[in-house]
Amino acid sequence: MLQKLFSPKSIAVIGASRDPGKTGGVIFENLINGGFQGRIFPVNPGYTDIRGVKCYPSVQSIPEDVDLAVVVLRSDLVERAIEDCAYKRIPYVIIVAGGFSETGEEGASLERSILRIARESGIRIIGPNTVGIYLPSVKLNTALTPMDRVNFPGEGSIALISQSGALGLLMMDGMAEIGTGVSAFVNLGNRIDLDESSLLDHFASDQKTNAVMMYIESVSNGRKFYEALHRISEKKPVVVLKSGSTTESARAAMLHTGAMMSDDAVFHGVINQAGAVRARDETELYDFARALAYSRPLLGDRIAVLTTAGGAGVVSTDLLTSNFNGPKMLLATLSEKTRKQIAEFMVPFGSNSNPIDITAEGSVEQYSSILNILVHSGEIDGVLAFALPQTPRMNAGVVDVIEKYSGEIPIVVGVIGSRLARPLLFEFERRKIPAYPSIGRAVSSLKALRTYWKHRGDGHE
Amino acid sequence: MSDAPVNAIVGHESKRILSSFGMSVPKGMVSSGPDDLPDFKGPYAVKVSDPSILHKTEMGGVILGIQRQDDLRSAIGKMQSRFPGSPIIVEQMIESGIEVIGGITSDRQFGQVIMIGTGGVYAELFNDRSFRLVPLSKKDALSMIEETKLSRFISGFRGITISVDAFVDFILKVSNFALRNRELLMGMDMNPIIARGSSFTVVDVKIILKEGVNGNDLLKER
Repeated sequence: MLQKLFSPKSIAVIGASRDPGKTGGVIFENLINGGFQGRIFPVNPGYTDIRGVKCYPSVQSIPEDVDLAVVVLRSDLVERAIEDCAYKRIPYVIIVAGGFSETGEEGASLERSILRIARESGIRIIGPNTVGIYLPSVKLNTALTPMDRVNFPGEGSIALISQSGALGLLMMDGMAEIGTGVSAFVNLGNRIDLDESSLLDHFASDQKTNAVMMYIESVSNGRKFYEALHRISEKKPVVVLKSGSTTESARAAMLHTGAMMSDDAVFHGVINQAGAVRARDETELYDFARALAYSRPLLGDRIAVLTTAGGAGVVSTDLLTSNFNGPKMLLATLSEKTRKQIAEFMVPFGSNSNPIDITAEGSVEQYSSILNILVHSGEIDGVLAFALPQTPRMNAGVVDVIEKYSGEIPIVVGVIGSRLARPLLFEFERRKIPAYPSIGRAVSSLKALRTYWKHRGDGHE
Repeated sequence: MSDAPVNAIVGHESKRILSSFGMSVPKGMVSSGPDDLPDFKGPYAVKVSDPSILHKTEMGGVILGIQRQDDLRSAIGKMQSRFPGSPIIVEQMIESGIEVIGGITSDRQFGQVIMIGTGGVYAELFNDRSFRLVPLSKKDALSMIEETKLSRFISGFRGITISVDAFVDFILKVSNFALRNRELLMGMDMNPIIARGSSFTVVDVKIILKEGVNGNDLLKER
């Protein structure tokens, strides 16, 4: 489902403009500059061409099939445009304009009329009141934001669904910081037709998507959302950031159960019951999504910490084994045999028991040998590995080592610092190894990984 | 407190309903006065049974730990004078254990939900609870227990252990009750539920029905 929406070969821009100060001008320009890999048909009866591209007076006059229409008209002109799209048999329409149900009854009535046409014709709608979609695989970007204002991520394996357009764009800008890619971005807007549940169903079967992150303020249908979230979570991880979760339910105070209920508590239950993972801010959203999209399944609680800085190991241990940002995890207990093997690859004053500290004397080769011992020990379920290239015998080669063993066991990486650390962070990301610029973020992401796999790995009845 | 008429069932009748759904409740009887005494052994609890009273304990509507028949008579008399016209019930007190709160209510976005948490008179203060949508699977019940501090008692804490199987079984009974009566129920409070070993006894329960529904409709669902 929704196939043509996410890989359109041709787009009509209804309301395209030559005026770069107008919405229809910016969006058309973005589409052209973005290098969309299909055909673009501007529609505006006032022009014969826009920036050298032939312009059509109506969608009906476009001589080819159109997969997707982007409607950039004022709200009062949209209904007519949707009728035209129905006549032209365009399967998907993005309605950019605001001025609908968010403004009052008149706008809500417009939405109902549009939805009626959509239901009769089979058109599926995104919006209204949306910045639309961004699909790096076909270089499609319907966002209004000029490309020089925010960075758009490259192609990746994480889908982003956002109810808010502005926050969605900012989050993409944030993800682009270390080069995280997306498989698709969709801004739901007023979601009169396609909502978060239908998109979860789509991404569940989308080959390009390994994990989904979503920002929502409310759900259009609670039960439907829960069912969709439950379905997709059996196949791939979803991380959810929901705002407005502190609203207390005012009614039902005649019961303790009612008094103790809050939107937050219920939503927490829904997320856990569905087997999804909850984030509390935008950083957690993409941190957790990266761990879940990139790492192998984390099927147990026994974690080995490997470091060249003793302090990082100790802080990690504190956070891992406490309730910090998620369930308590276990510092794996290593056998006498394993510890003896490990001791051979470190200086005598290092620590061969968990957390394993090979100290500033440690080399990339020793790091590799110890990872090899750990992976084959059968005594651990995952590794929190610190890649700290600042000491003399460490270098960027540690990325190759961690990449090699990431294929065998889940590894979450901590990178601390800036000068040598930042390029390393980019390199891990490029190779789709989850790496984080702080101990806390690395531990939280490891816990998110465990939370998802604990639910899924335990098997469903 | 709301002045709107509430279609609530409390006391003896609400416990009879839970009992018919396989949940344990203490032995009890409705007493018409100091001379109307139970035929079961003590120790006893005397409680006012009035749906309009949410915090019975604070209102002086609960007298616990009564051993002697004389004390029982005077407790019933005291309760009658404190709450003229309200029904008074006498119950057999059960062995102490962990106080659990359980309930059913409706969320505006997700519909019928179940809550389980640390119960007792301070339940709202501790706010240690977990919610799930109805119906629940066994796995849901387990993860619900894990989310609360009650999970500490599964492996034993300060000499008290509660059976995880019995706990799951209890939660699934609540889920079953909620599901079967979905069209009739507004909500339900069970507080406290006394848990110890594999026994889960609902000591106090308030069932709120939708308008026009009465308790007998619920019983027929079985």
